[in-house]
Amino acid sequence: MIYYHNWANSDERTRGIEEFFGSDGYGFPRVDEPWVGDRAAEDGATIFVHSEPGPRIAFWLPLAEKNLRTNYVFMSTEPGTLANIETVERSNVHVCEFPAHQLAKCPQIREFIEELECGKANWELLRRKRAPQYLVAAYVLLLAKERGVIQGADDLGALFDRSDIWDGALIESDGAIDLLPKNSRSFLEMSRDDVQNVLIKIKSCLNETAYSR
Amino acid sequence: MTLEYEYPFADLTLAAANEVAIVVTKSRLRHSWLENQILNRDPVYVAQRHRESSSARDAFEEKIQPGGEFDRALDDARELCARVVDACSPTQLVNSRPLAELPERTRHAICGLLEAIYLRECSITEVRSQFTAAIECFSGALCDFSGAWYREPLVDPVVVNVAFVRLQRAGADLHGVLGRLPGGIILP
Repeated sequence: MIYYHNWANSDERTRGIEEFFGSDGYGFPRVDEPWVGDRAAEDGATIFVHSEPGPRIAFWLPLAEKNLRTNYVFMSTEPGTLANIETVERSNVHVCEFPAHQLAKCPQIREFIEELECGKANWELLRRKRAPQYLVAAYVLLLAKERGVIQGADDLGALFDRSDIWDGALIESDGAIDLLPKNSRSFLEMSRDDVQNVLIKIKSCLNETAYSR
Repeated sequence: MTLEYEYPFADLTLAAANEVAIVVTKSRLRHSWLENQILNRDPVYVAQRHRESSSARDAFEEKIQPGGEFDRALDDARELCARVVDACSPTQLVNSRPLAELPERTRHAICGLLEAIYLRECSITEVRSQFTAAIECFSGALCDFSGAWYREPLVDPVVVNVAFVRLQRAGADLHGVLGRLPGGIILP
């Protein structure tokens, strides 16, 4: 079960949170502090917590420590203010890095909720991540090479002298794809087998991203 | 943390912005419309409201009347359906950095390649056909339901109940198709 707590509903930002989680949005039950204090949510439940800034957040942390089988996702209209929560090393305490009033615009959070409703909690989706643009670019270039669209330096133009695509792709794959070319020259010299191997590896690497859904 | 929060997608490319639009529309149609307003409603409760004069009945009629909320949601679904093939096309990637810096003729050739593989291997047109069929099926069921609701003299509650159950079935199919739509760009 998914719940949410919204400490106010009095301004544009807090109303935005209400619209996202409440009856005009997902329709999750809203919980208030006494409710949570008196009755722990059922095992495995997740509560999105938009608490009043300042000391009120301190009310929630002991609760999270007491109810270890309930997950608490802290959120804020200014997520930078949750830096202190980020240091809390509890497996049931999480921070949503996206602004709470802008979650409706955030596909990662919708994906997180949809997965959570199916019983899968992918907490990484609460974190901002950049699209793996270099890895995707490397994939497209390799695919184009495999199909004969890119054959020489002229086809790469200004990109020929740059290694940032290949360096960036290596970083975005967490160093997992060691067969990636080091630069555009070695890219052009790759064998067809190597190209196909790297394509498979990049595809596998992208499996967790939007580009393979 | 040193993150920018004023506009959360400022660092995303045009391609990613399209993904945002798809996911947001898809989620809104599935959750806010189909689940909250149709699938989770009790047909018995709906049939009971039919003969009562109440604010709940008025609010419900605003949704089901021609041009009402359900019709507008159907329009949104049709619009999403009309652009889903383009919105999920990997050709957009070629117009985003760093590939946007390739020579024009190379970009053109890569776009042609990606488009051909995408249309041939990714079943996207099949998904669009299913989506179209589910929308039209729902539209027909909605028409039948509102026909039963507004019929004079008032029909038996059982007729309203049965029509709403049919609407829910069509809604469940549409909900399923929406769930199978890609969440963004498909990389072939």
